[in-house]
Amino acid sequence: MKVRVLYTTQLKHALDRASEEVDLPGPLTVGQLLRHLSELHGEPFDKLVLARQGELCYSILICVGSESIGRDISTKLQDGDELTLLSPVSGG
Amino acid sequence: MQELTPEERAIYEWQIWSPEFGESGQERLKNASVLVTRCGGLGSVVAYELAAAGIGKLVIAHRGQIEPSDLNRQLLMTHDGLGSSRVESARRRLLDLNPRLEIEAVPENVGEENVAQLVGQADLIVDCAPLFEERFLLNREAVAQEKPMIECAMYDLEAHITTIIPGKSPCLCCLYPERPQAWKRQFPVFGAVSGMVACMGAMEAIKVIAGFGKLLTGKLWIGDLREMAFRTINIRRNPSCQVCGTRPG
Repeated sequence: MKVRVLYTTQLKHALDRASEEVDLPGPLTVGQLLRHLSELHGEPFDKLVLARQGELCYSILICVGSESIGRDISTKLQDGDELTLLSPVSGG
Repeated sequence: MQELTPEERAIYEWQIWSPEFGESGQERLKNASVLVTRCGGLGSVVAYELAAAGIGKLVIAHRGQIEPSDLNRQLLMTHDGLGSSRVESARRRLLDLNPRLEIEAVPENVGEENVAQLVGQADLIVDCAPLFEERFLLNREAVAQEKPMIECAMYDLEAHITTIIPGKSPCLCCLYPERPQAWKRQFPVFGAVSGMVACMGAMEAIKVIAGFGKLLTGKLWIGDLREMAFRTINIRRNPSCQVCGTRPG
């Protein structure tokens, strides 16, 4: 199944890309996709998305389509879904 | 409630024509107070637009003196003022535009020692702080004092904004419970980007105060001016939020 991943702000800069398409066997949860992205991108991804113990960092906002999923990384993804990883910003 | 003077009716005539706003909306602005912190790329434009719109009182908080690197975006600062107080420059520029405006200019950034007093002086807060520590303090105090807060932020050519109504919509800590570990103080910024989201923040403040239009409550607007892509995401309250989780929805 194909999922489009959108990156924002610091994450976009760290990975040097605004988006990418991931094609993985389904069924697939958000957590499984994040683990795949961690293996794919390594430290630049991990330091912004994961906490020290390798768990999901509490300062990343995850959206599937136009809905925030809160902390629920067991959310199931569908073929064609769009996942957005929003790293928080405070500048001005 | 203080009524509009003939001079004010003349100045604000063109926005009083706006449907659902009218003279009653203008009177609400005149009788309202807003805390803007800080007065940088975001806060300068928020404060200037609110002053232009006829807000009654602004509380502005910003420590320090004007530096060269302020001048690409902090529109209340001037080249002639390099080395002088930021908040005094802001006060002067705001009064040049609107001499009827009451201004409380505080030469301090938000901290644990002043946050309750600063928030207590305003009906609404527009959060324009560059540090997450300041943003989290403002969020905590706004929720505690049940004051609406507009949350404006930007990074490079991207901007985020949401409107927080305590007890009704997600607060900042519902979205980001912790300070981001990898976050750095330094960020790329064009004044046109911070100014754009600042104008949106000022308009949200005007709508909250005057009570019209749809608000960004429960929604996070995100815009990317590099891609010219704009969208709104539905956000939810976190029932276990340490700041607002125990408040009734």
